[in-house]
Amino acid sequence: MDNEEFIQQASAYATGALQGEELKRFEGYLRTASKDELSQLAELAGTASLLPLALERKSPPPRVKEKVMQKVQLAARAQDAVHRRTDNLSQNTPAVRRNWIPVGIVAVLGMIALFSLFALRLLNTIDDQNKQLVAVEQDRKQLQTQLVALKDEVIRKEELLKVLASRRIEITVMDGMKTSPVSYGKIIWDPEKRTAILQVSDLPPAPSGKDYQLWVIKDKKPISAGVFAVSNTESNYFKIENLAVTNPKEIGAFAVTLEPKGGLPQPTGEMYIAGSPKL
Amino acid sequence: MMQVVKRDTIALSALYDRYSALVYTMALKMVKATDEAEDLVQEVFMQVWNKAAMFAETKGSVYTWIVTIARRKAIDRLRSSQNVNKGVSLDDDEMTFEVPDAAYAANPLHATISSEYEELMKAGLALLTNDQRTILELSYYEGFTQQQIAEKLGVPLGTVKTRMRQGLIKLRDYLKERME
Repeated sequence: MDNEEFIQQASAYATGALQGEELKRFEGYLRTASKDELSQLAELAGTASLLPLALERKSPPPRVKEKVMQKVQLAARAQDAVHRRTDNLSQNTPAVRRNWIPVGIVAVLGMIALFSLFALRLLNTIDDQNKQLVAVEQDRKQLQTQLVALKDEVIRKEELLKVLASRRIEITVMDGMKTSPVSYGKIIWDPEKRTAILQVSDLPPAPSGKDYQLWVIKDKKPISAGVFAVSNTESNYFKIENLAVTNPKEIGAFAVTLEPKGGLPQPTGEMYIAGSPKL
Repeated sequence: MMQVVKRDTIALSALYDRYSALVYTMALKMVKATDEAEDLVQEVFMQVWNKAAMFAETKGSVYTWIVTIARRKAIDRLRSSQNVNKGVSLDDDEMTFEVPDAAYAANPLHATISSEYEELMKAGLALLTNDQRTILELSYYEGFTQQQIAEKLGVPLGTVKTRMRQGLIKLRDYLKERME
């Protein structure tokens, strides 16, 4: 664009005669215009803007100013109100937060306390239930033990009954010796089946590492008939099988001695009870 | 003007007292109806109030800024009422190019309102031919393009361009000579 064309376009631009595509094109050119061109444009635009100064001046009616000032004051008040509200919000927000902080803490602490109480109760319940379980288990074991004992007792009683139901039974009473005079016992035996029931009462519990051993004295020689232990002085029953003799006449006596645990081939300990068959 | 930026209503009142007659006169010249001219005055000063922070003193005087707002609003109103170039708005959209600060700073023609400038402008315009003056006024006050002016006056487009350029340059030179 040469200077003459530029001045022509700048004059139209300054007076507002450029519009649409013409305006866009010229403004596009201005973005890369020289400093001199821009100065010329500023002078022309300045000249055009002074055109209204040549008009015969007329003042607007006073009501126009009143309306303008009313609107401006309303706008100013509205803007102040917005600023005040914004300020209040910005000032109140921390206060509100501060007010909410203790409430929040109390709420959280309350929740923690409730949860702790709940957890404590839960733990106590679990502990109680565990204790109950242990007690139940102990009861179960005790009942199991009692059941086993009862089964043993039943078995022994059944064995006793079987022996008693035998066609021929022999009963030998054993009395307490010097070691334990209060003790006594019986042996009920079936010579044909070579089985027997030993009943002992008031025998002291066998010390640790010791067992009682039953002896059959045959031809003045002791023959082991088995070992047993008692845990109390009440009556205790034991089944004896494979008794060494079948003829009662061959038996000189029955005796019970205290021997090392498991018994010995020959008696070594003190005799507690003994008795001879009454033929 | 800086007080107006700080939302000082008294400062706006003073600004109104200084420029309202100029704006009203422009509005009457352009829209030719007192009620519309009064409305325009209100719109112009409300825009001054609302957009005072956008005013860049280094890019022109308060006078230039207010006159530019007034002209754009009046042209918009004219185009709306006369269906001339309807849909094209000068307000805020058109003339988006900003003359660099240095160019404005060196421009002696960005003056403030005063009786001295008024007399100078009247004298300067009196030097123009009727055709030159008419073309400048049709463009500046009526918002016509050079093509529309050519059609309205029944002269070639080239003639309009030449007369517009010659008239404005003659006016510029006269003012520069008197102001410097």
